[in-house]
Amino acid sequence: MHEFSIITELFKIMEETAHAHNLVKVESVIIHAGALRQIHKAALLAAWQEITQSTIAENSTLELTVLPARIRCLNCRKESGVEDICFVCGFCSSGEVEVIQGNELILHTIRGENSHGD
Amino acid sequence: MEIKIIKKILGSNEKKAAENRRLLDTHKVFMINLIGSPGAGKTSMLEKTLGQLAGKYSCAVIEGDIATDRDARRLQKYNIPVALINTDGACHLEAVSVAEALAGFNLPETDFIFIENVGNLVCPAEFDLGEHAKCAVASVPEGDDKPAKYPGLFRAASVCLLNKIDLAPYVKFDVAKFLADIKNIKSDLPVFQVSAAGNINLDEWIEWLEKCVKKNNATGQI
Ligand SMILES: Nc1nc2c(ncn2[C@@H]2O[C@H](COP(=O)(O)OP(=O)(O)OP(=O)(O)O)[C@@H](O)[C@H]2O)c(=O)[nH]1
Ligand SMILES: [Mg+2]
Ligand SMILES: [Zn+2]
Repeated sequence: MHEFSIITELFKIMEETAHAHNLVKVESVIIHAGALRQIHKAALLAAWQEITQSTIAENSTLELTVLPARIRCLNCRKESGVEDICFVCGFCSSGEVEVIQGNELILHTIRGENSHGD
Repeated sequence: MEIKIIKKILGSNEKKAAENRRLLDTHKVFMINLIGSPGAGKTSMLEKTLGQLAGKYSCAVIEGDIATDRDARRLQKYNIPVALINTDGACHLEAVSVAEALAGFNLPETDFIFIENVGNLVCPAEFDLGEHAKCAVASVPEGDDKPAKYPGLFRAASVCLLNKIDLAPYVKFDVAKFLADIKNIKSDLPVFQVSAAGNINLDEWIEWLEKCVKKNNATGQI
């Protein structure tokens, strides 16, 4: 359900950006989401389709790139991935780690056409 | 044409949450956000907590409820300010509505604000409200796999309550497994095994909370 809040704000930013760049049509929107955000892709796409109806982004594609979670060890300073639910350093097994990737939620790119057909 | 933007979505919620936190810090108020499944025992734990703290500290509650005022009414007997936020179907609270609730409290005279979020293990963890700590409220009948299935909440939490521990003898619940999964997700997360209904182990939780008080040069552990 939080997918709807995400889409509402995404749509707002998309509209502002499209307006600032004189877009008449939006073809695709790329967002990057960290794996820890637990975003339900189907719900996100359905919400996007719903909110873009009869707008310049109607029938546009929403591309979701998931960024896997990564941690940095506070003990040995090395970086490792997060296997399953293990937020534990892959080198020294310390549990004192900070998340350096996985919490993002970013509007990355918008592709579209402006009034000159570019 | 292609426009590279790289802009945070939900940035407006984060901004509002940061404002809330600044406001609370100015007045040295500690705010904690209780997140758990429907029926885990959030209101029951609040009742027991207020029973012990409301006489000693100045407390206030923000009740997030989809549509009713049932939980808010349960807390009336403590004679403390309770702000009810009806989310009208939404599955989580957002920082804007919490800001409105904060505006109605006498912050210079407040030590604790407890937020009961809408019953849900996923969405509320995504929305920073400006709290100083998130409390993950799990309960025995839900099963010991909740940390493994919802690591996001347990990673974001500063403290965890495992409620309804009185039911452990009757339900297949492996406490060791629950704790081992939490250790993997967040090695230093304090977990209190409590029973709101059976008044079990509430003292450790209350002690933990008291260490968070910010007024009067208290330790303020979080
Ligand atoms: N056996 C047992 N039952 C409990 C305990 N704590 C709460 N309950 C019961 O669990 C039910 C739900 O408790 P609530 O406190 O209303 O749960 P909640 O998390 O606030 O629920 P929502 O607000 O609907 O999400 C009630 O019937 C409580 O009496 C406990 O420690 N042991
Ligand atoms: Mg409740
Ligand atoms: Zn290490």
